[in-house]
Amino acid sequence: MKGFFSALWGNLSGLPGNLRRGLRPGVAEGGNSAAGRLRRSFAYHLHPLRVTRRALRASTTLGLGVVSLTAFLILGVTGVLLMIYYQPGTSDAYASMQDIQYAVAMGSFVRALHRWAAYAMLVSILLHLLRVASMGAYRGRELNWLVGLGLGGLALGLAFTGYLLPWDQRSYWAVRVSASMLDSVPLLGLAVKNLMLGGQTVGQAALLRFYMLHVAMLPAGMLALIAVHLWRIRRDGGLAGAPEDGEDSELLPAWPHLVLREALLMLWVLVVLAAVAALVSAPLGAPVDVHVPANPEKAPWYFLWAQELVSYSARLGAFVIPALLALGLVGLPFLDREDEGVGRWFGTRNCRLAVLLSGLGAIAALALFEVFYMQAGPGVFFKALGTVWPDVVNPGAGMIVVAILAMLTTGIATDSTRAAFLSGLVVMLIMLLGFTLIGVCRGPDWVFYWPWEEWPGVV
Amino acid sequence: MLFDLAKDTRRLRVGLFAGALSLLLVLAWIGLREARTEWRSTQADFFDLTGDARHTTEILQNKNCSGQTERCATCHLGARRRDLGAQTPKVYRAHPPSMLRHLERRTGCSTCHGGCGRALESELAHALPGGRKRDPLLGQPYIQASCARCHLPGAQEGMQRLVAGAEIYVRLGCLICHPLNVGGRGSWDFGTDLRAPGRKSLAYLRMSLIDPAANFPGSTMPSFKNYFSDNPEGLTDVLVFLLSLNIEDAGDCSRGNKTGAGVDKPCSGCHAGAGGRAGGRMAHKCVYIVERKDELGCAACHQHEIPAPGPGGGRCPVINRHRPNCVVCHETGEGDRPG
Repeated sequence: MKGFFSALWGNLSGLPGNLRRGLRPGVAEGGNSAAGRLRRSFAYHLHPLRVTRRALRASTTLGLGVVSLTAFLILGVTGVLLMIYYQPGTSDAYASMQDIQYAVAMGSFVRALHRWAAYAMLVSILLHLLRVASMGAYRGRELNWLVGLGLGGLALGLAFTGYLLPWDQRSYWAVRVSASMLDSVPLLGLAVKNLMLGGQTVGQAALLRFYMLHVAMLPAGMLALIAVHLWRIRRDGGLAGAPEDGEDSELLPAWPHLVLREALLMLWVLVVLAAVAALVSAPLGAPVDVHVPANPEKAPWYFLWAQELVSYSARLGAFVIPALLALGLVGLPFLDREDEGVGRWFGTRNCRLAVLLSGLGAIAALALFEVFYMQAGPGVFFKALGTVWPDVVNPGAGMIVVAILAMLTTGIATDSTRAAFLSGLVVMLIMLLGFTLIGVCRGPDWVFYWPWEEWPGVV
Repeated sequence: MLFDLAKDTRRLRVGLFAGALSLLLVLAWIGLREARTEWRSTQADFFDLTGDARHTTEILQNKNCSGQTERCATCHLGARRRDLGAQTPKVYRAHPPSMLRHLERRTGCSTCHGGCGRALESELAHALPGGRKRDPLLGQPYIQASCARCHLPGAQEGMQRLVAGAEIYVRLGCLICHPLNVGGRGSWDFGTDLRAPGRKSLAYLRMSLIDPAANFPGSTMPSFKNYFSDNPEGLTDVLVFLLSLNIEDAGDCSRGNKTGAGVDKPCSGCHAGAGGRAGGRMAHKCVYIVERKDELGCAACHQHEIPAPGPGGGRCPVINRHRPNCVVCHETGEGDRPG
């Protein structure tokens, strides 16, 4: 009996130390050294013990992956908070959104944070993809490139499914427009549409499916792929490309110099997004009227380029160009096997020059196409051809031609596959951005209006 | 240059501290803003005004007759009070006694006055759902337009303007171009379908009568300026009628009237609502149908009466949009009938 009490007393008096050791396993062995921290902490264990000085430089990667990850984490937290009030039923969804927006304490802030973090994630993922492509950082990391593309696809899916949930006029018609684009996809289009909407129309079945995809299936897939993506970076040896000799290759402890840098970036992303969310609330439109479309009916902004292309040719905009783009991105690390210039922005000097020229060419070509296509004047010949072969003579098809031309001329001039494919990619992306901007300027009946012009018929 | 480990660590820590501080500031600002919302101060002012001992602030909400949540009572605390003088600020003023029975029957506020009942900010609450600010709330004298949601014109007292407006509408021959007949949208493409959704503002409707070309360049509609310059009251009456044609935005009474008390439009009680909900947009706004509803009955077009609306009452019969039973009205041979 005495032994029991003394043992109990000993355990109780040793509690502070045991708690520390028990909750922070490894402290005793590793001490508080930098290496010990990285080894025992879950949050830090993905980092190597030492990193090059180049890895710490902001200009190396711009931290775009960390920004995307932060946005994803914010989306997870705010999303769960929104789930407390949101009801995925056609008759209740809009009302519950109104409750969140108007009556729930800090509801409109959480909703705005969710919305702006989603947009930040989409933009940062796209820029991250561009960064990796421009550096040829997919060399020897083909799997991780594909995982990253998968993450980008899932992020688009999340944004798209989330767009419907407010069930207001804007979201309903945006999804209806986007879903109708699937009609132009051969073979699988109709089946995918049926599977996605649970029928031919956007109704209760579609809302429930979108909700399930948005809160469960897609985030789970995203989490799994993020884990693989981060693990692969470590397995592939950190940042791609060998640092130049000299101070860039100096090895520094990852704690605190890399880990705190990431923490700093994450914190400031959160601060900026929170400030934006506090200032600008997310829009909530009029309740759905399934009989009366908004005019213009617009897809969400990240699909606006597709809608703009569909306005020229449905087959081209909804199927050919997205498919080409996806195929090109998937095939990129297998079509380009060059090792020179990996880890440098737009590779070698020749490559940079070629990409710059292609980009300028793309802007010029876009302006030319639009002037020709929109105004009959000098382009009356093309206009006439466009009515005969709408799928072949239009700005979207022109984009493919310019991209192929840029690819061929760059390839022949520089003898570099990377320069060729980068030129093609840059041409596509610049022109798609242009189509997005034109889509933004579309008013009623898909007529082009400059931003400072007022749309007619708006009372 | 050699990397200064200590200096870098220090700079990172300063950055983290500044970030954490900024985050706290942003959150504190949001929290403060939340604690000083408009409705809280409106409630506090009301209790100061009445000398009420109650100090707690809370959102007051109720359901209207179609089961929609309304939070109007959060700010309009004096709606049922008789003891507040005429000097009371408008937001606390008592509801006119004539229509107080609607309040007692839980008709709700937005059912008649429109607006966005769930919102708490006055600017949003007094606009259409989604913050569309085209329309102010319906008040005197236009409030009578809302009577038509549940009552036949003239079936109740206090609907004189609506009835007079419908009469002027017929007398001026508006029906020739804007027939208001059943048959769905697009059945007539000469004049604008006045039952089309997206209610125009009062100013727009008034301008359409006085100077149609000002709203719609090239309009062939004649101006009724001369007629209404002698008859300003008639203009108001017609505007009330025009507003009543498209009242789905005026509130949320689109799921059917749940209480049914005092409602004398058994079909239109449900079918006057927005599209996509109970019964779609087959609102019977044709004055002839409304006039002769009792004589014709719903079955004249719908083939059979609904046994009993509500749970287990069976499906409401849907009229064939492409082959509406037009002969009910159009083969009577009466000269002033449309068509």
